[in-house]
Amino acid sequence: MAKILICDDSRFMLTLFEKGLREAGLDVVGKAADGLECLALYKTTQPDLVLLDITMPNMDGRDCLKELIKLDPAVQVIMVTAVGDEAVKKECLELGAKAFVPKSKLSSPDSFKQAVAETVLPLLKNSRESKAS
Amino acid sequence: MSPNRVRASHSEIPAETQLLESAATFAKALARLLQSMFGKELNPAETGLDELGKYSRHDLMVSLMFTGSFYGEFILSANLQQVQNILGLSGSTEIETKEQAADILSELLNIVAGECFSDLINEKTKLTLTAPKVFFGVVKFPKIKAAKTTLNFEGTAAIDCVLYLDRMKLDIDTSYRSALGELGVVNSDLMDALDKLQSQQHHLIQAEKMVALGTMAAGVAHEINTPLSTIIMAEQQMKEALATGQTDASGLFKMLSVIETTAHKISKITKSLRFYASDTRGEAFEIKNLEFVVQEALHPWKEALLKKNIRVILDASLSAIEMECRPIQLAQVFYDLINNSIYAVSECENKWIRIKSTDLGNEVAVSVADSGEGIPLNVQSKVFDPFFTTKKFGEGIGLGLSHARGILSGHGGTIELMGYSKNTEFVLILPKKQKQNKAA
Repeated sequence: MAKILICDDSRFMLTLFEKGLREAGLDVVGKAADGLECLALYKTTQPDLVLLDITMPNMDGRDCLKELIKLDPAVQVIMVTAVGDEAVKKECLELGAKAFVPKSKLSSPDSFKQAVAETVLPLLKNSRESKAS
Repeated sequence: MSPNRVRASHSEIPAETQLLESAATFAKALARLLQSMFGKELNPAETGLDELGKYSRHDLMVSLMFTGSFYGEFILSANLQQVQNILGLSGSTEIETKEQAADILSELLNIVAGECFSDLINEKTKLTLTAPKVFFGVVKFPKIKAAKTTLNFEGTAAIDCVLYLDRMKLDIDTSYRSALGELGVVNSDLMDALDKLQSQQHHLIQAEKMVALGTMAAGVAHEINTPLSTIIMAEQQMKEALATGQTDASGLFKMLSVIETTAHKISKITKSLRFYASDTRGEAFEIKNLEFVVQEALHPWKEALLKKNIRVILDASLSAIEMECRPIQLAQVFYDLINNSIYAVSECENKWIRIKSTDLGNEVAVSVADSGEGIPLNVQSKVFDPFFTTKKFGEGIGLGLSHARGILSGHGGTIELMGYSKNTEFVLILPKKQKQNKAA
């Protein structure tokens, strides 16, 4: 079962992500409330994929992404944000994020399933293939 | 909320309507989101304008600030019990409910704001959403006009949605429009101030003239007293001659002529003073033919010109010019210039005064030249100074040219002495049309 680390300062969103991912047959191995926690949990849980919020206290998603790439250049990160700003999206993708999902797409069970199928699963496949090779 | 719609609302719809529209969009998006997450139907009530200051009675408030092309705040305010019903938190303790409800509403607000503004971000300048803030109990907000709508859940629970935008920074277009509006007000204040200043300036000029006339009065009195004593003397001589019978008609006639000539001198002095002190400020601009204005100025001089055998050459070009001017004032300028010319050429063998014009398109140049010797270099710079004159005392008080310059300036024109000219030549440059709204 694919291991996912989720990171958001909203407990509500964490719960929502966890519920949606479990229903999709994925294993949530860690829940982080900010970038610092995320880094610590990444080291201990070694997930296949990270769902990372951008706006967070202590260390925001951008800085956390940079640190994650330093830790593991092959890290698979999906940035999640409430604001679908093209500039932010471009920045994150340039920094090394693999995908960008607006939170509004994760807000209902149906749209969550769709987002998982379109974004999360293909990345996990890539991740497994790269690890296998 | 499509980008086009947003753009349209910015450029055409008043700020309050825009506020209402934005709040309604927020409420709809929030209702949709809550519904998709919790499967409960919420109905947004009609959005209306309200004062934000009143929204302090709910025991849970979540606010989200946003800055950038929009600057304002979106607030969800509700009572815990009702939020518990909507969000399915029944069974939780009050503290748990508060924490969970705040978390959920904050995040929902974040998502809704992000969704509603995502179109805008690409169209407008940057937008920054700050992390939602949660308040419990009474919160005092400034009294700012806000749009309010309510999300009703089966009539038993409600969340108030309040949107306020900083009116000054509502968006770039609006603030630009409001800035323009303010500029208009400031401009009109400045115009008023300018009017007052001009009127004060005019009073000052008049006052200055009066002061100058006051200081001149002694000299003028002396100048009048001299011919007056001549008259008195002539009169006494006549009386004596009549009393003693030691006279004839020709002798009497000679003395009467002296009186008449002297009286005319006095009249000339007083006339020039009155002319100087006159106020033609209120004269309106009219379209006049330039030749007509010049003829008006020439008319009083006709006899003198004839008597002194001075030829006046009016160029045909004058009649071709129609211009907007204050005809009496402009005629005064020509009157003064002709007066100067008559004086200047009186000793010449060949006596002429030539007035011609050159069409410069929007402007017209009018030259007044005479056969006089020209103005000596050392006094050329002073000719426009008030009370400067090269005439003998009593024959001019030296105000004609300074007055002329004032009149020309009132027309947006200038008057120059052609220093290089062999003869005496003044050139007036005048606009053919006056600028709009020029004070009469």
